[in-house]
Amino acid sequence: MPIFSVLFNEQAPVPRLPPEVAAQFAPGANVMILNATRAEFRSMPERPVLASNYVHEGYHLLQTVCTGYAFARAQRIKEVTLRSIRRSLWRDLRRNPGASALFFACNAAPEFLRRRFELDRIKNVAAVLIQWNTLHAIQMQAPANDHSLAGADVPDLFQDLALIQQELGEAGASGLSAWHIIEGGAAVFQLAYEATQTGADDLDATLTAGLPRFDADYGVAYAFARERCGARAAALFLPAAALALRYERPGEAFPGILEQLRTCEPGTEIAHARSLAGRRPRMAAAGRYLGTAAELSAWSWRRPWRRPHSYYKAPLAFLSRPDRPVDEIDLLGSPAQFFKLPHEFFQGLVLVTHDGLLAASTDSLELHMRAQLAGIQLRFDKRPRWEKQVLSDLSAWGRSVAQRMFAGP
Amino acid sequence: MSQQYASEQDLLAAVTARLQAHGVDPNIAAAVSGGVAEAETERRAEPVLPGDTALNVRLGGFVIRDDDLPFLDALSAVATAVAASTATAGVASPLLIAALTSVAKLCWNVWRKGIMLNATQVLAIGLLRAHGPLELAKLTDLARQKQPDIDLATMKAALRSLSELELNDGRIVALATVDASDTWRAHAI
Repeated sequence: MPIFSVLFNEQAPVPRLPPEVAAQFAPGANVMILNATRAEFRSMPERPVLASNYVHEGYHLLQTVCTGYAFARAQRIKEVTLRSIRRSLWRDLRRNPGASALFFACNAAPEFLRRRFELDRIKNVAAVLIQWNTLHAIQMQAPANDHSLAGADVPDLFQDLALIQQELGEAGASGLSAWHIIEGGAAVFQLAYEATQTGADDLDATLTAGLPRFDADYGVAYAFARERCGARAAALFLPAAALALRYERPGEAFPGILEQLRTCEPGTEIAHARSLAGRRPRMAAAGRYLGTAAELSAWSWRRPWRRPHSYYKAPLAFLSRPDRPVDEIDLLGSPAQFFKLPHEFFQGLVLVTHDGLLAASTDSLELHMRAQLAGIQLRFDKRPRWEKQVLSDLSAWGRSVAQRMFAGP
Repeated sequence: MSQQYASEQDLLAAVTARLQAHGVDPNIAAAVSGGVAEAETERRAEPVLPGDTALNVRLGGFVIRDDDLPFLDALSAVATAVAASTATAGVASPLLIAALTSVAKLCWNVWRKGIMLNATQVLAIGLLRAHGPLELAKLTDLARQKQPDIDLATMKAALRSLSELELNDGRIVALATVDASDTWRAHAI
């Protein structure tokens, strides 16, 4: 129940990322966290480094709404988180059957009965009992090295998330993992965007010089492509990565797609990738063909989940329109379209800065709930602070009871 | 917005150069930058908890952000004050350099874990780490050498605020505590 109640906390988590993490994207909640203030974000046109990092994280959003692999992964993260929250709620209600029944009965009672029998006081007692037992249980099961509330409340959540993360990082026979394709794609896209800003005409030289500024693994997939295609990898990499993410095992799909793409005339890479996407080449090592995110979300028989993914409703609706100005290959294949995307495309994205939230959506409750959901997934919620708050609430309640008991007539 | 350094040595050299450019004694500058570099290396080696599903822009090497710079300057000013308050064998004394490095490391650790320490708090920690446990009055006297306007109440408030701090990872720690004999002592995290 503690993480269930965290969802409704309107004081959103404001995490401070370590300095080497310029920004991060939580795909299971469609939340982007920037290592910058709100004022810095608002003056982004004058801040090329921030703009470039925003493009990197924006590319992860594009990957999520354009490719089946990234979309299914985001959906799984969301589902396991929501399942854990539901489990936590029911577990705590079952743990306190009497108090829970009393609480709900008092809540449902008509107004005249509530006043006649002072049911609100009884409800408060029930709530205090549930809180006390929950606090005790949380303190008993808190892991030694994890100080997040979710880590103590639903440790299974992090086992499930670790499994999802392990699958992302698993390299196949090619030596590439889905992580290499996803992060390599975002780093190349970011550097290609920077090249358009600085007017650099040799993209391969820009990428070769720029990739070492990231953590070492970000450049693995590009180095793989360069080894096979030389300087032409600069033009082939993004379309190939975009197509690879339509398969169940993107790391294994990438080499085959790269081989097929390199046969095209220079300058026709995007068009060739589009025609290749239409043919849906089968590759045994790459697993199932998942298609685009819009296809995956529309075809119910391919959906391994129960509910449609509302966090990405707006961009998926945009990409499903018959009159859409750009398609998935355009968006992922070149940074030229990124800042031309309409405002509606970003509806639903929540931005977290050092000093608060920003969002294209106006629904404040949903905004906060999704920031909290990301906070649960990324361990921004703090158990010691929660314990302190519960103890303070309980002692305030105890004081008020004592005052009533000893107050004069 | 930030500066990136490929190795610990590059970071050490850059921080030392910056402090020396601001007129800090070379020995103190070396002690502070040594503490900062040690803290950064240890922080980056900390194990990551499993299940982190975020997709990051993670830069390689060591990073100093623009908003770190004022803290770095405050840290070096405090280190200078602490060195002055312990002036027994000069600023080149190995014991003093080691103490200053440990102060810088602790303060940088705390800063990196999300706590914005003010100048008085940094000074209090610095003096307690360099001199060992101190009574409030003695600590305030030492602090006055750096901040003449500091009084007992201000120092007490600063010390009390150091006795319960919430780190980025959720831990609530005490950097300074008082015992029954009203003596304050500093703690590492």
